[in-house]
Amino acid sequence: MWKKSEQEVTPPAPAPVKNVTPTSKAGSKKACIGAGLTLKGELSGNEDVIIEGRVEGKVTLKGHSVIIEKSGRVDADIFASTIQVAGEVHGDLHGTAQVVLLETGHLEGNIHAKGVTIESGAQFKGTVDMETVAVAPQPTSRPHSANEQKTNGSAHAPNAH
Amino acid sequence: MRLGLPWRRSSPSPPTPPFASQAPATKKLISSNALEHVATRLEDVSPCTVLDLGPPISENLAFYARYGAKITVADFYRFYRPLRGTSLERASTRASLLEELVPHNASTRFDLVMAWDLLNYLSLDEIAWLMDGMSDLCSTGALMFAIVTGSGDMPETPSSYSILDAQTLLSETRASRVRPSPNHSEHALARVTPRLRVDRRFQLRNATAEFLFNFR
Repeated sequence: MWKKSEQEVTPPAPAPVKNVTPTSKAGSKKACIGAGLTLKGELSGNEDVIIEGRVEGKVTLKGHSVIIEKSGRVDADIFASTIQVAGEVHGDLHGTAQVVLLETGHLEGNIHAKGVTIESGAQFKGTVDMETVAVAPQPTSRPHSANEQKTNGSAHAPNAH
Repeated sequence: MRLGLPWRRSSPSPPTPPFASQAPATKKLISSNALEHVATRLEDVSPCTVLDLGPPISENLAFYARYGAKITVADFYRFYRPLRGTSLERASTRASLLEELVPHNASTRFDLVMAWDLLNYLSLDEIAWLMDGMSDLCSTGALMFAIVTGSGDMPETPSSYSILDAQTLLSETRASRVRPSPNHSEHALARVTPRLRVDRRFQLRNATAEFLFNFR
């Protein structure tokens, strides 16, 4: 009747979460919104971005990485290839490759991504859409996303200060 | 910035993580008899709309996603704890509080609720209002999984539970202190949750039990 249903164990340590490496080529510039900056508006472009400050509006960096550092605060929807959150985000994350929520990350919003990794201790409230992950691997070609317009990296920051 | 659904309002302030102590984790493997019923629900209702009231855990998201489920994570205790006893809690209607704590829209109807050990950390009054509100967000017959601790001590804060497979959970406790369990009896839970009924109960060790509830 009484099963030995619990046992203390030392399970193998989980594989450490790989921090996202910006996908830009080595030596190329990576944009950084510094800790002392606030950007209000739409941030779009053709390179990876590291956010240490504050961004409000919309972030569109398809094919690239967005890294929100611990000091970063984003009130915006983010569209990118890979999105890594160590700071605070209020908005939806659309990652065509993956979304990573680190231990210090705080996200209130929805996640749409092929892969989602959440470190122990991360804070999250919202929905998760990982539908493509749930489908059994099949050798079918995925439809191409709409052709992405490459734009010159230009951050509209009328209120940057 | 896009105007969000009501639940997208920002929390009043970033919640202070109750798990900030980050003491070394105590981990336990638990053989679960209830999980297979959870898996059956995920298979039978497709796509199953899942509400996980616990903290976000990659393994659990992957488990639900394997069944093509629509997943909502609430991390309820972490976001609710700072609101307890504050003027916000007294001034707001219970429905407004639920709007804030449980992401959903007007058409949301959850088929599966993973409450984990949350009920141990709520008073019967809190359980009553939460479950009453949840009943409006759940489909008839929706399943709720909960781990209820009997007499004795329990960790000061809720544990994290990772679904390793349909028969095994890994519990992780970082709380360095313990406190007395509220020892909610099945009778007391039934009394405060008239819109739920106990479907199954599986006894674990240490006076702990897995419950499967159905929303009427």
